[in-house]
Amino acid sequence: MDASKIMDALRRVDEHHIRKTPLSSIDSVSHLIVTLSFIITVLSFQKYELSALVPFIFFPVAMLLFGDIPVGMLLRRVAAVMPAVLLLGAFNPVLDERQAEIFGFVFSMGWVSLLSLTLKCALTVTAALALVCVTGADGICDALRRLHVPKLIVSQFGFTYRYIHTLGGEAVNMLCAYRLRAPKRRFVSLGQFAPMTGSMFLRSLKRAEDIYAAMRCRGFNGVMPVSSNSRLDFKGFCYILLWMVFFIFARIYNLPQILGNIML
Amino acid sequence: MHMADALLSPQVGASMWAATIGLEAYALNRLGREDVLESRKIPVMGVTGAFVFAAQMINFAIPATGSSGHLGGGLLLAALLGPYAGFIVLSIVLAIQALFFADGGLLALGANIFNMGFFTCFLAYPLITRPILVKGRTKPRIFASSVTGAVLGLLFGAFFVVLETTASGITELPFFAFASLMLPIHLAIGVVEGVVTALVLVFINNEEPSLIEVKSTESIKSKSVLMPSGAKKAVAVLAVCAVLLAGVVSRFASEHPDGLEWAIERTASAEPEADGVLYETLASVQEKTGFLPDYGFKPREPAPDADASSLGLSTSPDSGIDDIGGSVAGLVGSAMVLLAAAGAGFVVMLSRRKARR
Repeated sequence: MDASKIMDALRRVDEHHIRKTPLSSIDSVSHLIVTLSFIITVLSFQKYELSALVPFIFFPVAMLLFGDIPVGMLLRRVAAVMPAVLLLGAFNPVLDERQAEIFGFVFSMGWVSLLSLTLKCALTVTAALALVCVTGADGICDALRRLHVPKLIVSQFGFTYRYIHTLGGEAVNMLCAYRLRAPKRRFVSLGQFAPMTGSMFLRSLKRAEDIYAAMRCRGFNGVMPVSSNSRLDFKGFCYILLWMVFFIFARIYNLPQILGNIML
Repeated sequence: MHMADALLSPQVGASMWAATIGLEAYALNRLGREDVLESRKIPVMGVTGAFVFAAQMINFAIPATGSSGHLGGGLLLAALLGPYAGFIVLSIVLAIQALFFADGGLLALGANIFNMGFFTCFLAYPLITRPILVKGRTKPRIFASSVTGAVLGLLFGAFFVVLETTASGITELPFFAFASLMLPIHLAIGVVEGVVTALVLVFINNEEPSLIEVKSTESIKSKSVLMPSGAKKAVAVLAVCAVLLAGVVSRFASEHPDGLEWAIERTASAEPEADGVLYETLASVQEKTGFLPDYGFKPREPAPDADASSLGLSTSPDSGIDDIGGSVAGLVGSAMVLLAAAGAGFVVMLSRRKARR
């Protein structure tokens, strides 16, 4: 992926989470708990279960709608991840010896497991991206801190994320300068890569040390301050409860099959 | 080598998370013996993580292939920060990639950190790279140590990807076929990664040698505050015993009932079973979530409501086709749920557009 596109994608996520949406009033720990529960529940389905997975589409759809997340952004990320998963699952229709027949058409059960794998991938990727769009990096730091993750890890998460913006911008500028000087080269040559990245590292290190010294002078004590200082309230509790009940219900009962039986 | 969530089962994902959390705790413990806050490690760790992330955005051409690659960073982080800080920073970089770019899943993050961090930072670097560099940081030594370390780290990581995916039952690909696909590719990637890491280390060594973390072997052997050497031996012996008990002695485990079950059998005619909606619901939940029922692996059969059963099957005993049901309920129900989701989304979008006007 192009460096400038990577930084654009990061910037879009950053800009998105500061929007006021119905979901932005719910604390970050609630979002994290619900998203992780969703992912675990989706992945707990057996490989031939497909229709039972379908109701779980409601969760990412709800996050998209109530979090005001652009659909195109999520679909592009899903499309980027899908090839690796499809490559692995592509062997299933060929190697799976179980067969099924529908309306006279016989096919390998491997197609069912491939479709199930694809749906699981799409669901889990959209859920994880929706989480970070709604909470942002500050929200993630806040959630980690409230979950008693060691403060070194939380502060390093904050530091790394902030420095990525600085160094990422520098990497984009370096690449632009390189391409202007070597327009016929599509990629940086191996011989130039080390001096470029090495000098970027040395410059950034010096800057980081100066910034850290300034932070220490201003009373930094190892705990990265976060702008979102939310806490689990009644709204967050209801949010968790509602989704947990839905996940458990949809996991135990195959809702599409029940609906289909009612209709037929 | 970033694994998506869909490639892992919850059991394997949770197990790898447990292993990763243990490694993080170990790394934090080792780092905690120095006052990290006062040292220059805090800013160096943060910026080095961001540097690896930014360096990954710069694709370099791989000679004679026409394709490009990018730096992985595990070995480089270990060389610059040491194995413990390097592991923590790598785990943060991977977490940011998983969260913001879906490069690896959240459940699979534990496995990704283990595959890409443990083998480079805790095995390849201290056992291969550092011992070579301790004897002298010449260019050939840097190249040899980096390439060897990167290759071994990536090969072990790729091997564990195969193990984890196979254990999750995601693919029909046989284990050896999968391994024979993954390992040669990662051997080539490891060579390139090692060369690139070596080039960067040579540059940094020429400009600022003090940045490369290579201590003499004497300072490496420092005692842990929390675990004296005697306790370490005891833990090692216990671990070996646990493995022997689980792997060998358990095969001779008695199938006779335990004390409680024996007593119940003597007093009641059969093991009492609970009745009621609550018990049935909880039993159903337990059946679906228990992955080692009666301390054995659940037989890998498709669930009773496997989708082919809802796809309208006609079967004949002699046709060789599995008899797995005869209704189209699942298809119809799925279509209804999708329509409901799309309809709900459409209604909300319409009402929002009206509110904005």
